[in-house]
Amino acid sequence: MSFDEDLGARLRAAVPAEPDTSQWARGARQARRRRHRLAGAAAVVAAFAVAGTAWFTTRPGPVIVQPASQPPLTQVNGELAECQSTPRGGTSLPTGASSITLCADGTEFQRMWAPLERLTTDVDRYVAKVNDAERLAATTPCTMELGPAYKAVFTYPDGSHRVVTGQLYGCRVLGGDVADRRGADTLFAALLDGWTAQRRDHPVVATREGTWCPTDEDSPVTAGRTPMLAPRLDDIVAARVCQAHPGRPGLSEHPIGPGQVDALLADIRAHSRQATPAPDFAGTLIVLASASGDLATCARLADGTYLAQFGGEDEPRVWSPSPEAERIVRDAVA
Amino acid sequence: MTDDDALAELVRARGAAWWRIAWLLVGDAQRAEDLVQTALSKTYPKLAELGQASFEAYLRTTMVRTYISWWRRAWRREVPSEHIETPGTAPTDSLDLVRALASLPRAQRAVVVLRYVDDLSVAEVADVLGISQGTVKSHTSRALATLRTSPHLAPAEDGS
Repeated sequence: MSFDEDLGARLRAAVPAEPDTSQWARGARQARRRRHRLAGAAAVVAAFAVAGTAWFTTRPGPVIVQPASQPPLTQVNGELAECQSTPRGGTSLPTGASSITLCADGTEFQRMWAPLERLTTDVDRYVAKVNDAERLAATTPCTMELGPAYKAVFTYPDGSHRVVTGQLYGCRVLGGDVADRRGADTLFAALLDGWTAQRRDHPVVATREGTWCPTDEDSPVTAGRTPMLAPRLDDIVAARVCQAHPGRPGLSEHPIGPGQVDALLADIRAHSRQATPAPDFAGTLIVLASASGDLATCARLADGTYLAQFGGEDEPRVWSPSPEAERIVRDAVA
Repeated sequence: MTDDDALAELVRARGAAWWRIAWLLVGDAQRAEDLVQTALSKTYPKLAELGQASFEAYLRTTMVRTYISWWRRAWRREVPSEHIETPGTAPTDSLDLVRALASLPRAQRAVVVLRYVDDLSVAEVADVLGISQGTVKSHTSRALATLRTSPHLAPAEDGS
């Protein structure tokens, strides 16, 4: 028998005894729920979205307080332009960076919405955090469970960039233009604290450009994105409906007028409770935006309720929309 | 039967077969389980809609693409071929073959596993990987050439 003919049989013979598979179905469901919870009750799948495009477009453009020495805040695909930077490799970051830009990165699951302004406060403190993080041996085993990932783009006064990638799963690896290190999760938390503190002093008003609805790039199955800085319910100012259509790929996007957004928000406040149900999504999303351009997602479940996670709340909200709120969503799509 | 029951029954019946394919892709029992679980968690809501046969094809596609995607985009620590776990009962030449397989580029490895272990046709492999049939053929040709000349297989080749 030739090498090629024998290959399959030899490979099959090399596989060790398979493990117990009896819990895999339950594990797959739990893994999916975990992702959805992580994605902030909102995450996923296919359907509604609310919006306020028409109203938003009548507002002034981005009014983001940033030092005059900084380059303009140009968006590409709903993120700042420097997010297009890619790592070229390196060992550590030089000091002297003037700003940091946070960007979504990588994996199919749980792509995130990044803030629309740069962090310009105490930047070298984060450079030091990266450089001081524990180095990771090349043979370190890490879980392959997928999760969200981010990029932190450090910009220097000469306009150059250094890209640090961070995996919020597995070994929480920092990489990119630095040698592999641990601590992507702690750096991410510190960066978000930095952004939050900066916003207290310099409020941001920005409109996220482009689609707010999940795209094919987000995932063929799960579709929503989670915000790095989740907006509070009280901060929502606009909404769009993302509607799935049987037999047609993608979601259509429909803005909701400002008066109706207010009615929806009042309905969410009046008819929701905090809970974490199994996410049995029914193909409709409502994407809600704060004045700073951060997005939160309300995902319709099979029982007609919506699941949403807002900033400042420990648990997701389950919203049972009133007939009037249902009508607002239906009218937006019609 | 509920969707959950249908999924549990299908996994009981076919999970081991999926895991064997996954093991040949990643060369490690735990990661193989991770790969199957990840693919299942992505795909199982489609089970009722697709039916078992189509669902299995969808799952296989998701599993293989996830495998390639993991390594391409995120997974940095592939198991070196010297550290492939010992199957225990496997003959030495088969173990060497798996080590040789681990040295292939990911797409070539996926093509070999799908064609020679999962017994898919060139057209089916092209469909699973989202590449042309010509690319499947060239990957196959290069992979086999590499395997035939792999130092891991030097002793085994004498008798084949």
